[in-house]
Amino acid sequence: MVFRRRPPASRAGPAEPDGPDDEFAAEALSFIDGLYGTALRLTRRTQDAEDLVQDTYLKAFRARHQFERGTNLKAWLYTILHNTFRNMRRHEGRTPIDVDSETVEQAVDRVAEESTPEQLLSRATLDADLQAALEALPPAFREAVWLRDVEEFSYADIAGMLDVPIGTVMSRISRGRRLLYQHLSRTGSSLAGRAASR
Amino acid sequence: MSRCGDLEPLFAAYVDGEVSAADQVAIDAHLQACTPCRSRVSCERTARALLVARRPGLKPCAPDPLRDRCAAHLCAPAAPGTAGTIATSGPIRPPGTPPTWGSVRTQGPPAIQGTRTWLSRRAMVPLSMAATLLLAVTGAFFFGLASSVEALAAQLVVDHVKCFQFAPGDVHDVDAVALGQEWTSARGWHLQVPASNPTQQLQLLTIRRCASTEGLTAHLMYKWRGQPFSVYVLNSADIAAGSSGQFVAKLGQEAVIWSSNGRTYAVVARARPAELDEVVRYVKRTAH
Repeated sequence: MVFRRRPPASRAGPAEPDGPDDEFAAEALSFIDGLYGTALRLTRRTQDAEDLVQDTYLKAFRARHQFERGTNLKAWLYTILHNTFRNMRRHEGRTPIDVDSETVEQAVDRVAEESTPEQLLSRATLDADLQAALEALPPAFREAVWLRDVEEFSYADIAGMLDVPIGTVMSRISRGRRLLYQHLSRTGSSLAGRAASR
Repeated sequence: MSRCGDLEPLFAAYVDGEVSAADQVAIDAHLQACTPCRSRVSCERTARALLVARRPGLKPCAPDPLRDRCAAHLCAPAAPGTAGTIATSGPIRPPGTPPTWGSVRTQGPPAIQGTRTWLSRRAMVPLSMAATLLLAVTGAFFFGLASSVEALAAQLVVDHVKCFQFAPGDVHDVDAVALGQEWTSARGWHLQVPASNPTQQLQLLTIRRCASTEGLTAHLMYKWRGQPFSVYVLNSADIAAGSSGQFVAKLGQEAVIWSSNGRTYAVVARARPAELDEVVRYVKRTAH
């Protein structure tokens, strides 16, 4: 109790009541694993991911009064994370997301026929294979699929985070999923034998 | 062909079950007629199902020191000069300065005050953690596939096939009661493990914490007629499977799922539904 920020009535101004701050902190922290996972996927380095998450919380705390209670805190934090990441990239003189769209278009249009979805599922795909397949996706597609299928955000939330139109988000999700499938069906054949022999 | 181009932008939402009724009808009809699009949608559906089923395994945990530093940021008193200000755990940039990437490392020892503040708040966290886990589990079941029972069956069948790749070969005389007690004391919820039964040709091998559901599911592994046989017990009644049992055939395996007393149970094996009747009855008798 020594460290609680609630000295009796002395600082309980209406603009900054401490109770909501406590709630804000606890709720914000409950998203740290997801934020860290997303940061890791964006930066690909643990050190950078930690910095990004730390920066996100620092900004979130400073801007906490701009957050409207009752709205989606998770989406708000992820938006800060993505904005921070984009600023960082810009600062480094790099394009936030490199999409070689032509290559991707071509790749996606050759839908893999090597295996059926049932065969793919029956390979009992391991987490490591799935991680590798995700890593192999172009960043823009990986991010859209990740935010949708792993982090469960709405298209609108994702559009806000990535700063692209909703239609683009949906198209990236769709193509990203197909690319992921393609990658898994190409690389998973070694597992197929083991699973099938059972 | 232009039809494909018109409808393709809706495929993501179609797979997610978020298109309007009219679009749903239009896409259904188109997929009936168009093999390439059918194949596309099928690939997208599979990729999503895999990601959803493997969600917990894909998410890393934030390292504890990072957690503590972030807690310090969030809980730091606003008044400058007070113990635990933001400056103890990270530099504050002057206004207008662009963020300097990579330089926001902790300087000096971690913020003790912040850490203790975090510890004092831990009591608040388990609730939201539990809620998050529950969401991860139910989310995995309710998203994307035709029904929650079907989604659960798909996930458990994948898990069943995967886990038996690493199953112990031949073990005998496994003590079901001791296994159940061990689980109950480690996981905090009571688990009754059906014992080996020679009449049923059922042999208990071991028990696993099912990784894909973060320990909310017990995976009891058996040999039945010499073949892999799984019993799953979910400490959750979120899946409305009914008490009699629903049969779902997935990937050459048969899953039987039922609910009882706030729990969800599933049996997975390679068999025809009728063959499973007797052994499922035994499991129901001994697991409830």
